[in-house]
Amino acid sequence: MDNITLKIVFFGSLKSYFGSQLQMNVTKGSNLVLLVKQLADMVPDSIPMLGSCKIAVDSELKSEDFSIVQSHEIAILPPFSGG
Amino acid sequence: MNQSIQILTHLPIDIPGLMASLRSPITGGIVLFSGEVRNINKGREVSFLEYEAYELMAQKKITEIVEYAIRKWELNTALCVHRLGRLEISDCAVLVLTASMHRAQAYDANRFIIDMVKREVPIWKKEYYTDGSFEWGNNIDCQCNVTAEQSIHAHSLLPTREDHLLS
Repeated sequence: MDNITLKIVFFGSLKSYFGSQLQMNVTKGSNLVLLVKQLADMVPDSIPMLGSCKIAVDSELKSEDFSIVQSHEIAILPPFSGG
Repeated sequence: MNQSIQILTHLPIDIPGLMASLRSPITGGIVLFSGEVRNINKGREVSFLEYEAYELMAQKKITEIVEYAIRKWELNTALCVHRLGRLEISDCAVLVLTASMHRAQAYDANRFIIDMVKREVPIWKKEYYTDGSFEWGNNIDCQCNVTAEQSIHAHSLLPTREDHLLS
């Protein structure tokens, strides 16, 4: 199976678990749910926060069934608090 | 929205200058909303704030929201600028200006823009309290005034998903 290297960027409270960014390998064709489960396995304490996050792929919000077939920047977005 | 305006800035927002930039002979009213740093939040005394953004996406989202509002309310012009970095009490964190022929459209559009910015734009606030503790903000329970109809219409132009992961 081909692996794809992703750049994952984190914001807000998630940075205390993962730092600002990391690189991660995923299997080609896996979806965003699998990606988040990998993150949850890495840092189980982050699970409550990950559960409230949205995900952007190359700056566009995507649903959880989005299929990863090439390298992207993936942003994990906690609930917003601007304004 | 005027493309020369810097939507996200680490510098103090120039309210008089931006207000002046919207003036036009065809405008009958300009509504100004300034979101300011309050010294108390949920009963806790705030010392200062820090804002961060997923900048490329935040700029794109704010542009989409403002351009949508200009079309929907037939505004003459509008803008929204959000501060990033450290802010002190009473600093302006976000400025929304809406200019139209008549005041009703400017008021409605202004409220829509700030509500959508709070709900849809990837910006995060970290509050530092006088006791030395801190907490990340959360707009989930904010009193936004975006109606279902406005939200549906906006979403057709501002593609977003409400999907929450691991839920």
